[in-house]
Amino acid sequence: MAVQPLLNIARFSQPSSSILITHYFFCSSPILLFPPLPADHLRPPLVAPRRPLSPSQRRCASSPPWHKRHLTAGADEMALRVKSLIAFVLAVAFIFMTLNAIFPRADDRAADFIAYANPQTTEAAAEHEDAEGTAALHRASHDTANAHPIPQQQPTSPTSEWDIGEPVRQIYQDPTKEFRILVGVMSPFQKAARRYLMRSAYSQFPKDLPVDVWFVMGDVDPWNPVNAERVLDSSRIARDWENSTHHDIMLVDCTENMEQGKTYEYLKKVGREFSNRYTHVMKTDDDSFVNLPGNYSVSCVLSYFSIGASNQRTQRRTAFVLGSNL
Amino acid sequence: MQVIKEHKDEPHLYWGATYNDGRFPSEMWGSGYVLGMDLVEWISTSDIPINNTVGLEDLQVAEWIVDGGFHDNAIDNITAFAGYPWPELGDNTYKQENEIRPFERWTLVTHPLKENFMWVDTANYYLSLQW
Repeated sequence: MAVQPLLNIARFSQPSSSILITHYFFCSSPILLFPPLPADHLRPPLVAPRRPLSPSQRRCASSPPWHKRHLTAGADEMALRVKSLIAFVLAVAFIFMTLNAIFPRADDRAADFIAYANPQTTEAAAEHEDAEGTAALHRASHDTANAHPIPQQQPTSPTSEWDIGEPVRQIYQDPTKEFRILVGVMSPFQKAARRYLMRSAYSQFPKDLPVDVWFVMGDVDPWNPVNAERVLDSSRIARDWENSTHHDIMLVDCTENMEQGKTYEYLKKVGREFSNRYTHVMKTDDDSFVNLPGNYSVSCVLSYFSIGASNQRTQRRTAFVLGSNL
Repeated sequence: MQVIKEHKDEPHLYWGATYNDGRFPSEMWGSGYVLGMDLVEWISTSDIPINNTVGLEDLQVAEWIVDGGFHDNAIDNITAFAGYPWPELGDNTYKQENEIRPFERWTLVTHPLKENFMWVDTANYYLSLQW
């Protein structure tokens, strides 16, 4: 029934060429359209196989023919030169990297800022150099008329409009005291699990380090006035339990806070009560790990490619400049 | 603490990461800094810090020292401060601070390790070293 209209068309009208083509295409067998190719061993070769090269021919295959040997005469020497140049560059780079690792240079951006902020200081230094040069010239020419000592300006420390000036009071470390550092970890009462981890880890460092770790804690902040007394009392009791077990909690006289003066209370307490026990004071938070040994002597030199070696040469002394540092 | 010990007899010691490179305006301040006991004694007795205690405290310590005029021995060593090597495992709000550089053997302070596993990983690395 499906082919009935087609047969009617073929009977009463001339079929178009496209109908004929599609009819031929779809009705013919795929075997006829794409006949299978003969297998490789039955197919005649398209290109005649060359004879295999003889050993002498193989030896000469990479080198030019005899009459063109001048074209590649200096290739070996040139290759040697290029290789030696690359090796030289690599060696120089290696030496520079090693020197940079052993003697790393400090970052001079802050110093550049200070010089930029204080043009008077740099001008004074230039005038100072000028004065020295002219004085030397006068001394060389034995000019007695101009032999007066030129007032040489002392090199001034970098000052700016923000700088306060000289210290109001000179205070010094006592060099006779033995080095001992107090590490104060700001830890609220609720971070007991973190304190447990920190005690467990820090106690495994060598015992002879001149380092003491204290947890600085204030009172909890009772946000609900209904149970404020109960919360405060119970937290104090639990804090005393913890301190009686571990003896490493320092109480400061304030409520727990982030930016309301806990650091000041801590430093005030340390300065008034612990000043004869320690020579240095550190302040950290409980989300920081402090490398208590802080040893760098051997491994810093060994790994030359590392950038972040915290040795003495990568650090620099800076005067705090408001606007750049603060 | 061998790095700090080399500055044992120096007055007015402030040792920390004070440099502001634009990406970390004030976050690196809280990770840790060392003060000489002379400065701490001065802070505990002076009137300058009392009027300036509310705010970003770690910045304010530096401000006190500048106001007192004791900023002549401020030592900046940003390379001693590092972060967790896989910051994407932690909180996204502290990811940028941890991306500053991964901790190394000579890193002094690793910060901020908000999650417990981050702190334990870091401590485990340093405890496995031969000191």
